[in-house]
Amino acid sequence: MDILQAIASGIAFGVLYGLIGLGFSIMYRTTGILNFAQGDLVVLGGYVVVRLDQHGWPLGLALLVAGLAVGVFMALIERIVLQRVYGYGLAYPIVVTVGLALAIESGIQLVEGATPEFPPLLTADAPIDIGGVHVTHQQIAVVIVAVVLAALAIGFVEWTRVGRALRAVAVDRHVAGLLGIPAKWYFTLAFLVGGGIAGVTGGLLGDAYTLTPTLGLSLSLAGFTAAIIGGLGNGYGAMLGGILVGVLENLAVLYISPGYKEGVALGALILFLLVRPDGLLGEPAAHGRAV
Amino acid sequence: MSSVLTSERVRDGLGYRPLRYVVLLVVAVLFCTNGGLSPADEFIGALIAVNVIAALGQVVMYGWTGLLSVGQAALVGTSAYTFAIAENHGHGVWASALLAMVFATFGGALLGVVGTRIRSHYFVLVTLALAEVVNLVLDNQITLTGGENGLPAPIGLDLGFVQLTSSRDLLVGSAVVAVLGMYVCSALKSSRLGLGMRTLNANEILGLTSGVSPRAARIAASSVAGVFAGVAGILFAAVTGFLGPSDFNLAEALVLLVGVVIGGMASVPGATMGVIVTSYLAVGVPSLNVKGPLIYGLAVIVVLMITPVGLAGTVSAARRWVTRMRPRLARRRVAAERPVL
Repeated sequence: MDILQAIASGIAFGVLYGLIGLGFSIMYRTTGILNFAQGDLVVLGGYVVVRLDQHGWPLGLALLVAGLAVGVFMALIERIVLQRVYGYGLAYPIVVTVGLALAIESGIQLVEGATPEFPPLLTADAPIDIGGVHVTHQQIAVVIVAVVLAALAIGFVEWTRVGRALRAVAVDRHVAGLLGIPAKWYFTLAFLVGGGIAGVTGGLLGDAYTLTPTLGLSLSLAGFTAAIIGGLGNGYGAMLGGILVGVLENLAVLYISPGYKEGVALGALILFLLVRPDGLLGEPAAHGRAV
Repeated sequence: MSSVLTSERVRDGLGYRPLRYVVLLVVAVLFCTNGGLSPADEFIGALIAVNVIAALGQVVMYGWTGLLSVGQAALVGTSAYTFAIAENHGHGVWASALLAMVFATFGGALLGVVGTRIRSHYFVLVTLALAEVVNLVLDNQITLTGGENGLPAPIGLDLGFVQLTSSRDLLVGSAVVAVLGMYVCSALKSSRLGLGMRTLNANEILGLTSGVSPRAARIAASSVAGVFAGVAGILFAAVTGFLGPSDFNLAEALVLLVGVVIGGMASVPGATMGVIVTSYLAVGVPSLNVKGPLIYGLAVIVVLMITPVGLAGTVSAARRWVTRMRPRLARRRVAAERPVL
């Protein structure tokens, strides 16, 4: 029964990781940039939701506003900063996003202080008992919202006209340009969508996390792991990878030690990168491999 | 990347010229011993010198070979902890240092082996994950590392022929090692091995046809990075006398990486300048405290917006501009810029 319990709460954590990984994937697939500030964007979204909730806003609206605010913020950063450093190699975008992560982290700390905040719950946090496994209403609600959000994002990329253009830019920005798709704006769009997902995810942290300004890095790592295990750039894969990571972590707590909860996820990340860098669902890509 | 194809003299401020490093060494020692520095300044100075040494590894690995690692701080930590633990168990300084060097170099070589299999973002992620694993171990193997409470290490280095005990001794010692490191790094840059690494980075096919083995070059580069990290770790333990896991976390790795990037990646003096700036911001301005990382992060973004080629790149761009303005000098420069490959 312990195993089932661990799997159940693992899934509740996992969908959050999946959403973070999904944001990464959308940005990476289109622009080829790994956004190291993704976890911090989630934290930023979390703080927005907490504050709006304290002002008595309805939670749904607060989530929406957080998503929009964080998405627009990230899009602006992309427009103003990142677009200047494309083409200068691998290090510049990484250093910029890492600098952004540091700035967001300490900016939040400066404005909000280091006292932990508790993100609002989506529903009453009553546990229900399914065959000996305890799950809370909150966990169920988070899973539902996360799956809907992921479905919306994936559907947008896969089935809409704009999403198709986004994928065209990802395949070859020059040819896309010849077909009248302005790659520049679609890069910004990818960051808008990825940032928006991060913002909403922040509002879903609920009883899974206590919000602190320094939470970002571990969220980013979990998201990276989810995206890599699923196949970097693959939306379904990110969600699948996230759930796998969440379950693995909870099994590690059960069987190894709580201190090494993250270690198992990291081990999985390293193993996948070495053995199958394209992840479970990713298509084998020539880039990222040595000759 | 035409850097491989231009001569050292033009590219690099100091280049592989031993005499210049002797001068630099004398200046550094005079600066450190002039008595104008408080013990706190000397401590900060020594930490900055340690960071310079560690960052040289980053120059070799990323600037020349193109392996972007965020694990350099974790390698430094591996070395520092190994050194401190061995010393605390009653082993001699030399034995402990040797052990620390072996661990750090082996760790570096391991990264190189990974780097022969995967590249670009995937490699960054592996180094990130490995660095976090090191940090997890430091946090959780409490009996060995003291966990989050940290691990005391004997302050100072007794090398037998010389004893570094006061903060000034340690500052001078670290500065001397840093300048030596810069010299070794510059010598390596224009050596056959260094040229091979940079050729691969500029154009892998060109490297292969010139008989450079990508495998060997990458493992060599990351092993060299490990050696620099090993030296830095030993000095770090000796200077601070106290190790905590947060000394070697991602933020610390970024101090090194950002310094190297804003300094101009492949240039030894440029990277050194960059790392001095970033380390000073990171360790030298405690009054900034909470605002520190904010200013730091914003500064990084702004610097990269304004000068994406880094400080050294800006310096050489300025130099090229001056050169264009002075045609007579230009003719002499053209002669110096003849390809070496």
